[in-house]
Formats: sequence, structure tokens, C-alpha cells
Amino acid sequence: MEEIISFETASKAIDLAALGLLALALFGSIVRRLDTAILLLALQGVMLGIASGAAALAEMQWRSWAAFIVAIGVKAIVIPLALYFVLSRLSITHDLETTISTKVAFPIAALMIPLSYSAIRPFTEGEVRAFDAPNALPAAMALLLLGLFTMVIRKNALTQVIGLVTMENGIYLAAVAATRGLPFTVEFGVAVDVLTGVGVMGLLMHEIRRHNPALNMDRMKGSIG
Amino acid sequence: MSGLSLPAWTMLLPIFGYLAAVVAAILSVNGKNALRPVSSLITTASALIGVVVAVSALLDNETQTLRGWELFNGIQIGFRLDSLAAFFLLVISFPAIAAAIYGIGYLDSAHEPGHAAAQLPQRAGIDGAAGAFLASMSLLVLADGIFGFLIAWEAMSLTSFFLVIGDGANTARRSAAYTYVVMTHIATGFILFAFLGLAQHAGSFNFTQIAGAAGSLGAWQRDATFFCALLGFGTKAGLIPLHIWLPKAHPAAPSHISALMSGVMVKTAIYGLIRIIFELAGPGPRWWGTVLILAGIVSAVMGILYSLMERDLKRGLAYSTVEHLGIITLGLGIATLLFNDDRPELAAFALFAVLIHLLNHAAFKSLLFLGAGAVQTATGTRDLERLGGLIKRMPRTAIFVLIGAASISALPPLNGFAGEWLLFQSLLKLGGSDDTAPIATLAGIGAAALALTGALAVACFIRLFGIGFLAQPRTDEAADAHEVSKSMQFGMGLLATCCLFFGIGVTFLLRLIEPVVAQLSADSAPPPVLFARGVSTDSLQGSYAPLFVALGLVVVGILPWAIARGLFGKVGRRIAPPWVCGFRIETGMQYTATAFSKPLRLMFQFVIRPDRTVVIDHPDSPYFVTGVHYDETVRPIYERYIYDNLVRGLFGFSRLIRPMQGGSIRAYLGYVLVTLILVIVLAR
Amino acid sequence: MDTLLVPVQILLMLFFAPLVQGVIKTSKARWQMRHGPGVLQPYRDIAKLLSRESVQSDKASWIFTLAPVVYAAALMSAAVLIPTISERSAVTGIADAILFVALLALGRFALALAGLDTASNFGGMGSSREVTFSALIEPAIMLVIFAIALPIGSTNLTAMAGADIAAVAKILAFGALLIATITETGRVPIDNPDTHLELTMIHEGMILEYSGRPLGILHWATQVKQLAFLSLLAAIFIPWGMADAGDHSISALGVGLGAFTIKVVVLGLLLGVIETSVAKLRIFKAPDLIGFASVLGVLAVLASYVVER
Repeated sequence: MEEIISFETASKAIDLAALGLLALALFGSIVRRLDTAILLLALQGVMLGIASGAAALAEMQWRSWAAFIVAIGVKAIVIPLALYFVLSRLSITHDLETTISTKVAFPIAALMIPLSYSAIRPFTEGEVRAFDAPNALPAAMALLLLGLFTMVIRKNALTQVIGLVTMENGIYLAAVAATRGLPFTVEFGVAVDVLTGVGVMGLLMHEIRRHNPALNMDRMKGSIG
Repeated sequence: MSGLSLPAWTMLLPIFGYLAAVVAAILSVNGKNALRPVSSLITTASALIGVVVAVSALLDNETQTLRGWELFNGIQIGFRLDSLAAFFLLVISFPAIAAAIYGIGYLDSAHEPGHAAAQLPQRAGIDGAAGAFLASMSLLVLADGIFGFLIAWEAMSLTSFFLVIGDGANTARRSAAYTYVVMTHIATGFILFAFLGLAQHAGSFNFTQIAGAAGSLGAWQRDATFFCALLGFGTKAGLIPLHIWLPKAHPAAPSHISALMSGVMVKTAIYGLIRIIFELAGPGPRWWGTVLILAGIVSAVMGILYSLMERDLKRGLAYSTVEHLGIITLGLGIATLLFNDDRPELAAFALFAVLIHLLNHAAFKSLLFLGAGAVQTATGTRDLERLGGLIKRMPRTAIFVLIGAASISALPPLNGFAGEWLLFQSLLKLGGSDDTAPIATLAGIGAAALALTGALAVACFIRLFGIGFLAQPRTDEAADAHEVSKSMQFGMGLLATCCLFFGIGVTFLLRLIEPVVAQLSADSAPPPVLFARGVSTDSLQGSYAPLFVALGLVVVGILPWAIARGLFGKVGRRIAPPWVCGFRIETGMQYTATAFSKPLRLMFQFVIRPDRTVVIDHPDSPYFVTGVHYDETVRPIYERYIYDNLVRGLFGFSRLIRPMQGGSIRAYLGYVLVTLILVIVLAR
Repeated sequence: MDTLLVPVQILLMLFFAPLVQGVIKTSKARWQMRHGPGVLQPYRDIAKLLSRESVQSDKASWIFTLAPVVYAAALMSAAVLIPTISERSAVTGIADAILFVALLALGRFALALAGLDTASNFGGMGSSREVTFSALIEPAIMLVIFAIALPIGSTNLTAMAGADIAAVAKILAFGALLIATITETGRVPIDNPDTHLELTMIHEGMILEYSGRPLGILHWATQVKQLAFLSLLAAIFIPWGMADAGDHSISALGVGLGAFTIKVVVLGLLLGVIETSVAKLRIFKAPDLIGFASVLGVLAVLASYVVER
């Protein structure tokens, strides 16, 4: 099958999607309202969908389409819905307790972005990338760091899951951009992994909620042996 | 005399045999009782094959290699049977024969009062682990490259760990096993450093190629390799102060395994050291030899001192192993010093001494451990202070242990003396090699130290045999002892015969070792001249003819009695109670083991530093004493000054960084994030 | 002819030993203004014992019976190695100084075990102290051997006899070996050989239970050991008078015999003088003296290299 859109168009689309993901992740790390946080995560999924969709349209291979479906289906729909479900059972709506104030967290998070760019640069100079999207790989790295950062500074288990999924989105973006679609088995495996992880976390959160209605991770320290 | 010229694949036969024994052990778990000895018998047969292969290879004097299989990235696991490997295969195999046969009877009997003999599953575990243990040791010396060596090394450590810990029920055994496994892995770490450094330089993991690249090693890398090898192999060999696991682990295992651990496993460390010093890291600077000599002296003297202070039979023997490994290290140091000084013919002489002593030690140390096991089986105790009078109740075991004790005390014409004599001659050659005072003094002090340890060893084994076997039983358990089973006697008898044969037939052994020495001191002059009558270096040089000495002793010994008989005829002999100042003799009058070593404890107290507490009870008045409690403990100084402080420091440091592991998940994630950022920054 | 020298030497050692013992005892007696039992008294004592029945402890085992045999065999074999009348005999090839020391150890091993075998405390004490002192003195003996052997590169006793090393080294080594002789023969200041009290029982403690013929053999062998040490001192430090290797003429051997007799008698008198002049050391002070001997030994080793020959 010949491609529906050109290589250049797809590259541009992926590039833009990457930038979008970057912005979403950056804001997602400092947002306080939990429903907003989940919404941002869903939008990340949509961005990924755009990226993988563009790749699929350019490559017209079944695995690219599979990646697209996974992106839209799992990341934009299933996971956010699951998280909304958990949220509805929680007693809080805002992640009120934070370790460092937004004033401090934002610059640090912002710093991660130039750091990622400078880290990736030596690896991409003079190499033929799958798609000509110079922002994709740095954005992926930044997503990784931002996701991890989110997990560190937030106390609520829900936001921790959001951070984790953000990290995985970063890897997904890198895979889509660098390999013209996706090495199917790898990504499939990772996606199933994350899905399972989220599922497990959901179960755990259910259990923890009984003792810790606000799902405050710091309060769990005491239950460690 | 040449060997059987066996094909190369036969070198793996013993290993397959041992593995078959493991399988047999596993299969016998639920089998009938009659199947019990099958695994041990297969092990015996494999060990016998091992001896045959080894001796044949030594006589053939040809290196055989077997290509193994390739793992990945060009890493090969191959096998090589050169003279050094063949010699060590011999050292591994012949005690295994005795230990395996002994094990049949040993595991049949109970060893602690109130406990039953090893049940089938436990027994299968011991037999299986023993087979795997022997297989891994044989693989170790046959390995042609770093990977094979390290895999076999690790397997050896793990199987022996399981043999030490047993079923994990006994706290003392558990603690011993943990100490052992920690120390052995620290050792493996150092060995890994040493080997990987060599491999990186040579660009290959294969020993032959590394040996080829040895000449171009940089000076500091050579030294670093030696240092790591010394620490790593030194721990396994039990050099003070790295030896703390030895006195704990060796007594904890079943006696025939202790025999193998003390008699054989520690020698594999010497194998590793020899490979590195003489083959893989090439000739090095002088200080290597000096360090080895000094380390050997310290180990030897302190080892035997602590052995003299021990009440536990097997722990005393373990310390004696430390002593002998010190002596072997001393010899290795002499050889290294001479080798690095470019005197290969003198180094060859020292190597003869080291290898002979290694072989002899395997023989008599295994014998002694088997004897200790027999004593434990018969009386249920290992405590010297509770034994006595066993010579009348276990006559054959007593003879075997006596031969072992006499051999380890280096009495002519038994095998221990041959090794020590050769070592003294090596020291002489060392002193004479360099006409300077420092080396001569080193040689003199080495000789003095060797003489001291020899004399202390005599004291130690007179104590062991005299208190344990002679005079009257000190407790009821000793009085109820009886001779052990035939298989155990056979195992001990086999090793005792080896001691006698190795002593008288030293010349034959030296001829066997010739190819090994020639290989190690590379393109060197031929080994020392060997007279038909015995070991010698030249005419009017010191020489030793064991057969002559033995015959001379017999002839000369008869003489005074013959004269007396001739002059005065036959006289009678009456049996009567001994004279103890008119009192009736009681068992409490006998000397105790602690009392026996008291003068030495006093005279060496600046080294041993015993802790003494005397509590005198006088409730009413100081003049009416109702009781005196005397307690004397010997806490080894390396434990007190080195390890206690080390452990305290470690715990202190752990307490310091404990807050880091507070349990907060976010903290852990934070560490990950910081590390990741650091990696990114630094990797650019 | 070399071979014949061996039994000659054995008989020489056997029959001179009690004489030397007698000389020492009589000289001590004269020094102490006593008459003394006579130079030939040890012969009479041994003869008496050899003809008597022996009594053995019912607690002892075959070790007790066998020990005197092994002890005598070891000590006599050691004694036969030392060059006395002639530089060379049939055993010269294997006459090694280290073998000498080891044979002494063999004898000690047997006797110490016998001491423990009797199940009495005197035996145990004797064995314990005997092995302690021998453990302490062996390094000194080895240092002396090495001081002589290192420069000449051999531990063969004939080679060591009259070795060409610095005089200073020889004096130091002689001092060390003299102290070693005193220790090994159990003379004052280490032990008092004239008493049988437990305070001074090193050797006597071990053989306390022996009687009759075995005791006679033990005393005889101990005197041979004493003579062996004196011969060693003579051979290494005052080797003049010995017949040359291969010279089997009666005159040479006769001169050798005469010289040997004079040497051991003089050394025996020296021992007697020392015994009379100094007091016995407290037993746990004895290591100080032995340590001194070791230091002399180390100095001897150094001296033979530092000082010009």
C-alpha cells in the first residue's frame, strides 16, 4: 500500500505532537487538581495518537496501525477512564500536600527540558532518523525525566501512576519516532506491562484506601516492616 | 616410565563420574536403604579414574587441550590438562577416594548423643553435594580460560556452603556458613578484578593467550593483579588475617567433607596463585616474594599457636591447616622471589618443595580429619577434654591417627619431613642466591620460623594424640567408645598408607612432579639431580635418603637391646598400678589439654593475649574459701583488633546511612532521578 | 672401610656416653668440694638397670612399651651422623644437620607420648614442658645451622665441620649452640638433672614411670644425646684432629679418636663449670635465656655476611 501522506508531513506531525507532549507533561507535573491531571494525561494519549497515526499513514504497515490503536485506545481512553474511576472513590479532589511548592517545582521541571535536549544532541547529529522530527527524541527523554520527577515530588498515589504513565509515553514516542512505526512485540509487551501495572496499582489503591482514604503515600511509611 | 597416553577426552571422565554420583544421590532419595552407598561408590570410582588420568598425564608430560563450547561473544569454555593441572588433579583425587569410602560408614552412624544417623534425604543431599563439590574442583584445575575457572570456583564455593550449613537447623553451623560465604565472595571479587584486568590486557579470556601477553603488562597493572590475586586467593587459602572463616567452616561440615575442604579445597587457591604468578602475570618485582614469605611466616606461626589453644578437635585441625598453608605460602614466596630474580633453577627447587608439601598435607590432613570424625562417631564429642583412653578401645583408628600425627609433625622417615626438608633447603638456596645480608637474614628468619612451627606442631599433635587417645578416659562417653565401621577404617588406612609411601618413596614423587616444575619455571635449567637413593642436590650438599633412614632406625634401634640381652639375658616385666605419690589413681589426675599447652600459652601470651578471670567465693571471710571459678578464654587477636573494629565501623556507617532507606518510595524515586540526571550530565 | 666406620662410630657413641656423663658429674662434685661417685658410676648404674625387671603401669598401652625403642633408635641414629673420628664415613652422604634435628624430634615425640600414656600427672607435666622448651630452642638451633650452612651452601654435617666462616660468626654461633645444648640436655640453668623433683622435671617427669631395662636404655640414650650435642659442638667449632676423608690408616684414626676424647671431655668440663656457677632459672624465666640464644643465632647469620672472612 502506498502511503497516504508523505514522509515529510508525517515527520512534521510527529514533531508537533512531541512538542505538545512536552508541554502537557510539564504542566502535568505541577497541576494540583486531580481531575485536571487525568485530563492532561488523556491529552497526552491523544498527542501520541496523532504521532502514531501520522506514522501509520506514512508507513501503511499493520504494526504502525496497531501502535496507533494502542495509543488511542489504552493511553487516551482506558487508562484515563480507570483513573477517573479511582478518583471518584477517593475522598479528595485536590492533591493538597506537596513536598515542594509550585514556585520551586516548576523551574526544576523546566530545567529538565534543556537538559534532555543537550543530552540527546550528540546522539542524533549526523544520523539518519526514521522520521525527521528533531524534537521527538529530546521530548521523549524529557517525558521520562518529568514523569520520574512527578513521582518524586507528589505524595498521592494517583499522581504517581500519572507520572509512571508519562514515562511510558516518553518511551512510546521515542519508539514511534525512531523506528517508523513500532517494533510491535516490544511495544506491545511494554504496553501490557504498564496496563498490568496500572491494574495492580488500582487494586492496591483500593486496599490502601480503606486505611488511608486520601491515599497519602507518606502515611504508608509506617506500615513498612 | 611413561604414562598410558590417554586421549584428551579422558580428562573429563572423573567429572562425568562425579556428576553421575550426584544423579545417583538424587535418585536414591526415595529408594531403598540398600542403595545408600551407591553414590559414594560412584564417587570413589571417579576419584580413582582421576588419579589414573592425573598420574598418566604427569608421566606423559604432554599438554592436552579440549575445545569446549562457545558461549557468546567469542567466550569459550575449554579444558586444558597440562602438568600443573594434572598434579592438582592428583591432589584432588586421591583424598577423595578415601573420603568417599569413609563417607559410607560415617553417614551410617550418629555423631551427636541423642541424634540419629543421617536420614536418607539428608544423606542424599550430602552425597550429591559432595559429588558436585569434587566435580567443581576438578573442573577448576582443568579450565582453560577465565570463564570456566570462575564458574567452577563459584560452584565449588556454593556446594561447600551447602555442605557446611547442612539442614540449617544448627545455629553454629549457620553462622559458620554465612561467614564462609561472605568471605569467599569477597575473595571471588578480588579474583575477578585480577582476572578481568589480565583479560582486558590480553584481549582474550583464554589462559594460553593471556600467558602470551604477560610479558607486555604494565608495571602497575602487574602489581595490582598480584595484589588482588593475593587477597582473593589468600582468603580462600586461609592466610591470616583473611582466614576467619576457616576455623568456623571446616569443623562444621561432615568429617569426610572437612577432610576434603582442608586437604584439597584450600589447595585450589594455591593453584590459582601459581597460575597467576608464574604464568599469567609473568615475572614481577621482588617484593612479591617477600610479601608472600612474610605472610606465610605470620600464618604459620599464628596458625599453630591457636591450634594449640583449641579444645575442639576439628577446630584445632583447621588452625593447623592455616599453619600449613602458611608454610606452603612461605615456599611459594621463596620460589617467586627466586623466579622474579631470574634464578629459575633455584626457583625450581623451591617449587619442588612447595608441591611436595602440598601433596603431603593433603594426605595427612585428610587422614587426621577422618580420624577426628571417627572419634566423634565413637564418642559423640569433639572436645579433647572429654576424651582419653581411646587407644585401647579404638586400636586401629589410633594407629592411623598416630601415623597422621607423626607425619604432620614432620618426623622422619614419614612424608611430612620430606616436604619440610626441601623447604629448608630452598631457604638455604635463597640465602645463598644473593650474597647480601638482608636476603640471608630473611632466609635465616624464615628457617627459624619454620623450625618454630615445626616444633610447635610436634607439641600440638602430641597433645592431640596424647590427651585424646592415651591414658584413661576422662568421661563416660570416651569410656564407652568402640571401633568404627570397616569402611571408615579403610578410608583412614588408605591415607595412612599414602603417608608411609609418600615418605619413603619421595624420589618417585619428585619424578612425577618434574614436568610440573619444568613447565612453571619455563625455559630453565633441568631440575635438581635426583639420586636413586633419595633426594639430594649434589655430593656433600645436604641430601636425604628416606629408605636409608628408615632402615638405619630399625637397625640402630635394636642395638642397645641386643647388647643388654647379650650381657644380662632376659628380664621380666610386671604390670602394676602407676605411682602417684601413694594415692589411688583417678582420671582427674591426668593432664588436661588446656594444662598441656599452658606453658606455651604463657610464653606466647604477648601474641595470644588470653582473657583470664578468677572468681573466688568466700561468703563469710576471706580465709574460708568455698569455691574458685577460673575462666580462661582465648579470643584470637585478629578478631579482637581487626574484625571487631571492622564490623563495628561497618555497623556505624550503616546506622549513619540508614535514614536514606527510610521506606519512603518517593525518596527512592528521587535517588533514581538524581542518578539519571547525573548520568546524563556526565555521559555527554 | 667407610662402611666399617659406621658401626665403629655407633659403638663409640654408646660407650663414650656414660663416660662423658661421669666426667660431668664428677667435675661438678669436685667443684662443689665433694668427692663424687666416680667417673665410671654411670656405667654401673646403667648395667644395674639393664639387668632388672621392669614394672609397667596397667593404664599404659603399647605406646609406653614401644617408646624407649623408638627414642633410642632415633637418638642413636642422630648420633651416628656426626663426624667424630673421621671426616667421612658411609653415612656422610645423608648426614644432614636438619635430619639430625628431626631425629631428635622423633625421639622426643615418642617419649612425650609415653609420658602422657602413664595417666599420671608427672608424666603429663614432663611432656608438656619438654615440648615447650624444645619448641622454643629449635629456632635457635636452626639459626645456628643456617649461620654455618648459608655461606657454604650446604647443611651436610661434614661440610659444616670446620666451615670457613668469620670468627665472630663462629663465636656467636657457639654461644647459641651451647645454650641449646644446655636446654636439650636439661642442665642448669634450664633444669637440674640431679634431682627428681617435679619442679625440675622436664626429662625426668616423662620417664618417671619407667623402671628396669627400659629405664636403663632411656638413660643410656639420653647420655648418647648429650654426647651427640657435645660432638656437634666439637665437630663444627673445634674440628682439628679429625682424620681426613678417605684416610683410613690406624694412626690417623687413632689421632682422631684421641682428639675427639679430649674435645668432649673438655666440653663436658665446661658444662660442669657452667652448672656449678649459675643458679637454675625459674622455669618461666627460661624463655628469656632461650630468646637470647635466638638473638645470638640471628647475629651469627648476619655476622657471617657482614664481617669479612
